[in-house]
Amino acid sequence: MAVGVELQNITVVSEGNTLIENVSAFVPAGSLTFILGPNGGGKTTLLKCILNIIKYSGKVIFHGAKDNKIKIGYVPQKINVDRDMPLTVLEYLVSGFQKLPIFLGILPKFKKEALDVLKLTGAEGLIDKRLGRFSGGEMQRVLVALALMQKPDVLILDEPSGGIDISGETLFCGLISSIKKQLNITVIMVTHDIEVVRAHADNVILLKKTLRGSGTISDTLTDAKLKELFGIHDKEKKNCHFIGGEEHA
Amino acid sequence: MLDILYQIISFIFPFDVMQQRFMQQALLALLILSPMTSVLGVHVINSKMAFFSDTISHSVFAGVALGLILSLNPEFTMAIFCVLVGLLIIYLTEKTRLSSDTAIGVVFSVAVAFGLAIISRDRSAARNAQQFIYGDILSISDLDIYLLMVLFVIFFVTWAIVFNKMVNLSADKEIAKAHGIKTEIYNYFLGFMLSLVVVFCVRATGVLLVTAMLIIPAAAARNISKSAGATIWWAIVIGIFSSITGLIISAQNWAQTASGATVVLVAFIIFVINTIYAKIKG
Repeated sequence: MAVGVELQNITVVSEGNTLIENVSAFVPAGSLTFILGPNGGGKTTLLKCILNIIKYSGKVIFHGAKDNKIKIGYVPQKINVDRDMPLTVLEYLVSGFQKLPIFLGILPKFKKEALDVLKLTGAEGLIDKRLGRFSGGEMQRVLVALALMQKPDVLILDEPSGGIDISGETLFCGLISSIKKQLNITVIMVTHDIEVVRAHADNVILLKKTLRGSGTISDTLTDAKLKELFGIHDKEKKNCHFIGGEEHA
Repeated sequence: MLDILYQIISFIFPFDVMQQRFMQQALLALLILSPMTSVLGVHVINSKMAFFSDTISHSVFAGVALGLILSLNPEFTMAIFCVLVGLLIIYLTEKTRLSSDTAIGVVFSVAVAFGLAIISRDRSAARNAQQFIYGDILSISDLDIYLLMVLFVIFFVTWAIVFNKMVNLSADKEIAKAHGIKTEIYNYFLGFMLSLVVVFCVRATGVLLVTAMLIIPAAAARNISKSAGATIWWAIVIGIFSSITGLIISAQNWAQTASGATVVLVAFIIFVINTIYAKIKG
């Protein structure tokens, strides 16, 4: 059963600066929810609260989870892997689960699990390749596979398309949307591309330090809301695919 | 038990130099020590901690000086002090906003300054500390070898348990943390084990060459490995081979070189050959 995520009055203060303030929103179970907002708007900070890897005040409640504990799969914007580190995709995927040291071999059970998640992301051909030698698109597929190895209730992606082009991002979001349907999981994703949001989102959270709107696309992606968020009208963005990122025209 | 091992060594290496007890002791010590330094070296490179091991080895002076001041066994205080220094660096890196470079730099300076300040006041301390600058594997005792054996068993049992997680977090700490791996525990483990092994390694190679003993076999193994598993096996093979070859060469009449330094030089030659091979192979 998919898990819904409720954020209650989330505030994060770091070194006297308020990064996000009093954010309350709901991510419906089984939805693909996008977090949209300008750079520095607190999108990544909010994700880190859900991941529970930073200090925050407020509550994150996972509806449908026992004791409010869930498994999370996380895909960051980019991986900081040492490109010369000898580590295969199979080793990386299995290393978080197998007890037998991987230098003594990889058990068939875990190899099958790794192959299954790589097939889901269309990256099965990379299983024996070295990590750190991939293009941005290949790496993102491997990282999604790694996240899926956790058998997550919620999949969290932080601007995962940072290293790929616009058509690549559209394909990537299509892939995520299809995985979400196949596995019946909840997906929370940060992106800059409003067209991608329109094409794939079930739900949207607008964030600029405080919550500026949340709900379905028709309720939230209005001209007024987007102007409040980015300072420009949606119509002005016909030729401006990316919002808030370095690509901002 | 050690006598049997010495007999095996003299049988496998039927050279004149290897028929002497102190050479057999030295080789046995290196055969126990080098697999530990080699596999730790792989983690040191993955975690970019080369400077960390330098700090531990340089803390030896302060540890020895403390022992002399407190009238305790200097080798005991040296081990305790070095482990505490290692754990302090990990603590500063984990709990403060200091980067690991800065934390290591600060602790390194303080540990060396503290050691030198005490040693400069006391000539006997200076003599005691001097033996650690160059190291002397040939003076290792049976008791040291028993201690090394205990460390070897503890090290490999615990390391085998944590190895997979350490590989996972060395690829990307943030992802590992988000997926529920307690990254702090593994960092403390690495800091603790590295400190202990470095303390023993200082006896063999001296302060100046400890980092080389850790890094070079691991770096050579990286050149020819495509996977994390293969890197570990290659590092162990290169570490053991360079230890045996280096020790035997150092005892030859035409060489007469410091054994620790010769071991490091042999490992370096393997590293150069590997690097050329990797370059040619692309």
